[in-house]
Amino acid sequence: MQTMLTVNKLTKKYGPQTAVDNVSFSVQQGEIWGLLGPNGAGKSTTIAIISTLLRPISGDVLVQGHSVLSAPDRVRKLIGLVPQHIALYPTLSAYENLAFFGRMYGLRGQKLKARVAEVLDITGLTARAKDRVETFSGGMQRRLNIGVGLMNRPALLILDEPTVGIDPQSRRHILETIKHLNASSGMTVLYTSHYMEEVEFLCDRVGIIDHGRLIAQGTKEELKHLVGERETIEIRTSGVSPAAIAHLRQMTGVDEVLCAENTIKVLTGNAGAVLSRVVASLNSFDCKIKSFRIQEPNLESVFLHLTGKGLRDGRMT
Amino acid sequence: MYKAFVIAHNKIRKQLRQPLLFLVMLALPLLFTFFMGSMNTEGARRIPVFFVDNDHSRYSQKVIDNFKAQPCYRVCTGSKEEAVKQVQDFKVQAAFIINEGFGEALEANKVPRVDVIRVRESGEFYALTGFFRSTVNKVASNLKIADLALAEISQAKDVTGRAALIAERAYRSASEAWFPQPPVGLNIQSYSSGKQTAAYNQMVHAAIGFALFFVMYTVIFSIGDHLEERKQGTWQRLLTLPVSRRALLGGSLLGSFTLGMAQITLLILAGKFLFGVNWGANLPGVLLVITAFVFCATCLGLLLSNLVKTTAQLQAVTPVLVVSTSMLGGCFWPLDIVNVPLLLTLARVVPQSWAVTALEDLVWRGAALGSVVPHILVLLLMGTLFFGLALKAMRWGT
Repeated sequence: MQTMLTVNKLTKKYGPQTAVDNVSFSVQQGEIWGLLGPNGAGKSTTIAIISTLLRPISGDVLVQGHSVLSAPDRVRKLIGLVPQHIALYPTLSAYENLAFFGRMYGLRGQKLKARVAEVLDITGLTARAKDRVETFSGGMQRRLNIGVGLMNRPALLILDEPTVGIDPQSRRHILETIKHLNASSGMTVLYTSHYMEEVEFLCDRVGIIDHGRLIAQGTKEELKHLVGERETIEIRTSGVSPAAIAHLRQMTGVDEVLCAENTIKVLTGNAGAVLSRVVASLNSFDCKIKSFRIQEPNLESVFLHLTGKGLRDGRMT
Repeated sequence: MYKAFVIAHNKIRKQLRQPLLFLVMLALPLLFTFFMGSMNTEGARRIPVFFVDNDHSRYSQKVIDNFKAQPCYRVCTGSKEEAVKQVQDFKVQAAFIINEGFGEALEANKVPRVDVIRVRESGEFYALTGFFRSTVNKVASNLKIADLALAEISQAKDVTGRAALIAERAYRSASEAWFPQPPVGLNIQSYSSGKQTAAYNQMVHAAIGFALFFVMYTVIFSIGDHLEERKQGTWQRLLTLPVSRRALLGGSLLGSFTLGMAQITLLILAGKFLFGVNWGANLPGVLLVITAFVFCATCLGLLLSNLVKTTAQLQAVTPVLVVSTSMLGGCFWPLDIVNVPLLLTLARVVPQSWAVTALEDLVWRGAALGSVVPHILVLLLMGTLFFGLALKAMRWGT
């Protein structure tokens, strides 16, 4: 299998703040590689460098062996970027948007028309091709945003949090479209998200980034192995006292306890054995339990294990 | 090149999808031209006239002093060479060269010869020469009356009881001293391009001034559209496509320039057919000046939009800059009526003054294209300077 993307010791700073800190990873041709991390972790900056929008202060990125520093034009022909924000012309129609960006990729005449029709079909927007983008729902705009990134049949499709702020139905459609593109045409995909479920659903291999540093990478199984066989008991309460948390941490069989906004996460090697004691302990501290669930090891618990915080919850105590 | 045209086309299409700004920028100058052009401001405008005094007699001095005392004339004096240059540069309406012997001829009741250099025939010119003739007549007559009266009084040892008789004799003497008509002969030399020109009127000035003023808004906001594109992310997206920065910038400039040219062309046509504005006989020259001005304004817009960070900031800065430079540059009133040297010096550093002067020279002074080439070059130079500074200030990435 050939290497599609090589990110080598990438560093980027904004003033004194390090946005990307010595990040290295590689993506093989035909795989979907996920970059998972909370907001502000450095995902978008990494994507901006890979897509030639920003220059790193050190390190390099190679796309099919072409450097973003020495051959950015070659790289631009190989990639298709789907930015986090909807980057479309709202007063133009879906067709006009696709045709414009297609022309920027050098497509003309019948080739352009055929490709626009194809992309409209992929994104499910053929019926609305002549409507202005400003009349579209958020989900439709997101689909068209992806469609623009597909216009040049990219060897590497880069999606930067493409499902932010849309309804579950549109999200499902987008994820299935990406999966289908990868399966049918072998398109390599670099996908960033802070939604663990999306990365878990789509990606073959995953990198976890936090504070600009890639803290772990591997297959989903490899990452989950970092957590071991531990399960997570997630408990929602009406209120949490520090004394209750301290008591849980002392409990036999409990590995880690994290808490944020009335949600307690208990990492344990045997959820069944400790659950009744955890519930009894919380009751003794007058913490009213609203709900609880036991989770198998997943990327969320990996992130929790590695950073001590949730992907979307911010720092936990 | 193809991609630059596609980007330009996209910019124009986007603008036309939201036609309100374009229509407002088209309607406002027409309204202003109509209202301002209909105002009679002739009284406020002083006609520049040049005198070369080679006689240095009390007669020639009195004639020049008489002109200086008139509120409707702005008098300059100097050598014949200066006079010719001023006329050729359209700085003065005409120059009168008062030759040596002017005073002696008047003393001897002979007709003196005065040379006149002019730009072209016009109502103003004939009014000027008529006023010159009557002034010479008046000055000469008054001086003779004064001399005769003085002589009469000097001869009288005792005028008591004979005052009425003396006055009557002086009156008769003065009447006898009047010249045959006309009192002065004028040799007229023309320095015009020989083309038919439009007569000056406020409507022409308003049409020129407001067209230039409002087209600046159109091109500045159009080129500043990249700020909005940055906000919506399309600018960043374009930077990740295989499009050269030259094509991106060139296409953007071309789109805004085309919109500006379209607007000003429509304004010229509307001025002609709605208000009867005569754009003169040198339409290619007018178009060249306008092209250079729109280029300059587009580059200024590019610079301005790179010095601010948001569309809101651009919207705040643009009116201040455009209004103040347009006032300085003579878009709202003719620079002829400005007599503050500092303001006239400042006017030379704003593009509007070069465009207004060149257009007025072409439209109603009948200047040949060659005489406005310096104006066109200055506008192109200013545009290139703005473009260079804009490139320096350009923030390409995020």
